[in-house]
Amino acid sequence: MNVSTSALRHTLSHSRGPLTALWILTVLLFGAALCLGPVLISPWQVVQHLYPNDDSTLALIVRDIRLPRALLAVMVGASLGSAGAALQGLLRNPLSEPGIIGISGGAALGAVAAFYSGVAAGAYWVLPASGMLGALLAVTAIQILAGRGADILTVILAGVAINSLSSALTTLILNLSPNPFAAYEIYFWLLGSLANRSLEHVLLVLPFMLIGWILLFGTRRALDVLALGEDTAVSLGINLSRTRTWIVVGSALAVGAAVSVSGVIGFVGLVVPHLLRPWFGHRPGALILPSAVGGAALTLAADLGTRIPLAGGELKLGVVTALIGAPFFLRLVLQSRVAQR
Amino acid sequence: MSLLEVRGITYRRGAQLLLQDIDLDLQAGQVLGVIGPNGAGKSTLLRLLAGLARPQSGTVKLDGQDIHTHSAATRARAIGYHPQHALMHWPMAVAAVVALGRYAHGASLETLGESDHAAISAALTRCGLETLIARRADQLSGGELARVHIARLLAGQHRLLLADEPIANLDPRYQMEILQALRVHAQERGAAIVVLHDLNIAARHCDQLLLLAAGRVVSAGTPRAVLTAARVAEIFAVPASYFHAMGIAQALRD
Repeated sequence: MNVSTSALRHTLSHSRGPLTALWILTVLLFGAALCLGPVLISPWQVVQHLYPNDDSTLALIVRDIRLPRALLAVMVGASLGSAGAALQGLLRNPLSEPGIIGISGGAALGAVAAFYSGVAAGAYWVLPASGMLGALLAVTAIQILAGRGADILTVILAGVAINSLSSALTTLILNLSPNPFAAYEIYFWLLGSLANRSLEHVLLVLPFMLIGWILLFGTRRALDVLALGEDTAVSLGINLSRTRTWIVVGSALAVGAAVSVSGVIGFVGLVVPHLLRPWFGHRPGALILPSAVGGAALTLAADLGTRIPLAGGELKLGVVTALIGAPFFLRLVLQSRVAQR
Repeated sequence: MSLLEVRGITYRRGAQLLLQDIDLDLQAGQVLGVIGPNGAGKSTLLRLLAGLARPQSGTVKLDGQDIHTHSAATRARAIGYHPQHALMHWPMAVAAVVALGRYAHGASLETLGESDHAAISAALTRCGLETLIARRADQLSGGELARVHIARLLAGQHRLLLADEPIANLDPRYQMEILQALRVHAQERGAAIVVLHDLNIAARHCDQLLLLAAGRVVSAGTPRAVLTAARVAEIFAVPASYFHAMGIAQALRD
């Protein structure tokens, strides 16, 4: 019996359906992010008030408050989702995630250090740059600690160690802060939020994120072949050290920039690739773009969740994603325990 | 001219001398079996031939060209490698895993062409995977997964195949079929080098044998020349009766 080429083509072809559905979901959530909030604005009114010369209250809400917030949700979510998918592919480990393995923690440390040393006031790009530097140091440290060809547990433990160290140092900086109110403010910023951001924030981080996304997206082929292990991947012509560098630098740029503008938003990079994997044939390379779009959708949805009115003020975005993500992470850990038995 | 010409390879890792002064010639159309006791350096030799590690001295020439002067892409097209412990980290579909072999030719799953499909389809058929093409890799038996890895290797249509213990997990039927597939490959495209543990199978299925022990070549040549009762007893540390009891003499006559 022979394998017919048409049967083979059918098995190897990928439906565009899931990705299209993710795009539509993201567009709908983006629209909802402009309409929903303390003031309800209809989609028609949103369109009317997007013009730059409109100075009405509704226009200010749509253009200056909700639009930057929605754009940042898309960008931060896309960064976390694509970095999560790429790191999981590189480390061949479904538990790798920028938040869990300490990249976000490193970025937060970098950003806080820049705040308190006063260098952040020097130039507009210093804050995101410090975030990215912190993220880069964290990923590099994890790579060194975990070593080459490290197993799942080693990478996670190295990440946990880096994460603890970063948060300890961040807390230390907060303790040494001369101004308790500023410390309080930074503490809340660390919990992750997209409230009160402006279009300047968007423009500040967009170039760094773009470069990060391009680097991550450029490793698709390599990630597919890495499913066969490093030796086989190299024998198939993959440049392993370049792939590592692109993913490390790409996630440091994207996640570092995201954290410097939004604080720490955990679990997006974990949940999204995991949920999407079965829809894309479990191919690590095919997951990068869908995870970016799915990350945008999840972050938009979580940010909508923070607008639910509460007695004590607004919920923090990082708190919402952690409430969704932590049980999910536990389930994954339990599953991998069962699988190892 | 030999298809593969290895001269004076010496390889150290740290203070450990893993291979010493290895010479090897392989003609087009032939299957070479690499045999030897555990720790002899068989897997290390294959990794060096695949270009995954570089010997401290000596040369590896494929069709007269030093493989270390090749670009990674050229080397990937020319040489296919199957590691001793073949890995599959994600439960991709069987056809997709086999298609990864085409990445050696610059393809990716989104850009497979006519010739890629033909190669994948032929490799799947050769390894008896016709009915499993849509099955997830984590729902296969050990033997089925082993055949998927061989099919991935064959789909690359390389000139030289390097297979490190490809038949360790297989039933006799598939052991025969995979070795037959490697032979067909050698006749049609170039040559194959295969690490084997079973001396009987090595005697029956290989044109040439390379017997390694402690990182050195003990003997090289036809199975009849390499496998003698005295040498097997000495190198593998087994009683002299092993050679006849295991039917190696019979295998050499067949």
